[in-house]
Amino acid sequence: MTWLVRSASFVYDFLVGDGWELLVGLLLILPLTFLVGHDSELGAGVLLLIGVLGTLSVSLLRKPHLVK
Amino acid sequence: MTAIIAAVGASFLASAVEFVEALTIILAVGFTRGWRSSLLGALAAAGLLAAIVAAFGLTLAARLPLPLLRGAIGALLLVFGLNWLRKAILRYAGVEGFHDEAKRFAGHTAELQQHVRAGAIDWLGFVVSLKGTLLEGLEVAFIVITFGLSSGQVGLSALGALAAFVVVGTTGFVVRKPLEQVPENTMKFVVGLMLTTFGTFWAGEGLGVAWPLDDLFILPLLAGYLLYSWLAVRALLARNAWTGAPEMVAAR
Repeated sequence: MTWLVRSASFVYDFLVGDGWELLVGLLLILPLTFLVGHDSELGAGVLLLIGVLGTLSVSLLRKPHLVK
Repeated sequence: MTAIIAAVGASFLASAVEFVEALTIILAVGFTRGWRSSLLGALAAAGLLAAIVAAFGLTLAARLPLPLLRGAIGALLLVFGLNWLRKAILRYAGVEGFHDEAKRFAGHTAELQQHVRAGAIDWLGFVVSLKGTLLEGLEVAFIVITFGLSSGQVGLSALGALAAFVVVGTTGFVVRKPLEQVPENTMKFVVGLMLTTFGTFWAGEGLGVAWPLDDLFILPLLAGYLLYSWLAVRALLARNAWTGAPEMVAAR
């Protein structure tokens, strides 16, 4: 069981590192994009772009607070 | 065509950045524990990485349909690319410190000199070199596989990484010191931009988005992310100047 936890921890650090907001943001945006995509293909694209930029902005704004 | 150029370019740039970091470890091991153990460790790691790329790249390409691959891999590229882009923006804005290869080299050297050397092949040197190269190279393998699969050009993507290996390896062999002059953050920024752009495009396609202009939409998408990054750096610099955060960064 320990090896599983260690492997998962390694993969998480490898992909996400300290940018956990990016992962949370994408976990929300990607399924939403998929759902919206059934009704509006272009609307889903707009949602994806706004979601990605919003997620990146939140992640960037968090860091200076940590430095302070 | 855009995807092919991006696959080779992204693989080359990402690999060059990671190989520069691996080279620092290989040099530190070479100077302190001997070149044989250092180079053998690096070669063993390179062999393992090539096997990983071949196994995953070829197996996944043969078994999974392209739309599914693009959707899943696009999402992975997006997480990975946003992380690189975020770090590069934070470094440009002075919130995070730049990579200092000379400092890393000094740290590795001091640590390795503390241990007694024994035998024709120094196993500590071999393991440190292998582990360092393997860990730095895993990101390269990830990018080569994901970009290669999504663009349908695993071979060209691997060729980009191989070219970077040759360029960095030859330069390192000639100068025999850490490559401090390489603009690491700029290269990481460019790779982050490319991964984020293609990640968005491919993930969107996989999730049912119909991008206007088809493949050509990649260009305005790239320009948009570039503009956003510039604005983000400006905004963070202004914010740091307002709150006095740079002094605290410098003190770290």
